Amino acid sequence: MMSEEYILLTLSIDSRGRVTIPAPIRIRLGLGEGDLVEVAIRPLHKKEEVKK
Amino acid sequence: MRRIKISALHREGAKLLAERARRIPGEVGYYEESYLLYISRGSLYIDYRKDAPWQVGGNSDEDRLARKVNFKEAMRLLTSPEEWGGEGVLLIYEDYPESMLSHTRGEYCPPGEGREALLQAITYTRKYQLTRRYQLEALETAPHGPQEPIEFVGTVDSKGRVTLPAQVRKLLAIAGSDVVELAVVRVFPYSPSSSSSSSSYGDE
Repeated sequence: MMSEEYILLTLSIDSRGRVTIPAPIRIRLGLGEGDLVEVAIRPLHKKEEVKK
Repeated sequence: MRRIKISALHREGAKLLAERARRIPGEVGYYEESYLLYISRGSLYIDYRKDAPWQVGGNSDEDRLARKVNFKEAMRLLTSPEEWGGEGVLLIYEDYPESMLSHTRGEYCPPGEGREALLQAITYTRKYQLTRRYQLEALETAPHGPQEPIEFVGTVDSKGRVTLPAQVRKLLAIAGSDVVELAVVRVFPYSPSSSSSSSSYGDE
């Protein structure tokens, strides 16, 4: 069944436009390969800002 | 882009739906009470409840096709809009009658599977509709990227990665090495039984 838990993460995007959901979170949500996940996403830092 | 066609068992209903769909920019289908909607290989099928084949025993091509619809496949296509073009926005009636689902299940779906599949399809479609509308609005109002979060549905790969769709990256003006805040809103578990029947539908 669908999970109703709401988890907020700070993640960086890799060079191929992907984010990796950490293993502990995946375990907590019961999230496995092939599952569909609905996410809300917003930018926190631009690459240039991080390097400053 | 593959276009979605509308079919219906009830001819007057098909005319009505087609007319309504044309009036709504960007919309390809319309659903309201008394109609059952499903998708198969890029086609949107609408079954008019009162004249549905399980009640009238019709033998037209449309009747036969309707009986073969696999709701699991419909759900899979709904959760992979890119597979069928992804440009259609479907309006789903929110208060889907429970009695209709239970009545339909025994005719169209593998026992115990149809109802949940259809509910998930409806849930996803509504969300997809809202997300897509939001993205389009955001694109118009915030050329440098919206301030509010964008929602989308992605697939988790074997290493726990989710690919941000190009449209989302563009709207948020983000690229590799950027940091994002991500909220997991909901999980739609993959069911092995849902993919095993993916090729057993349709007349093709």
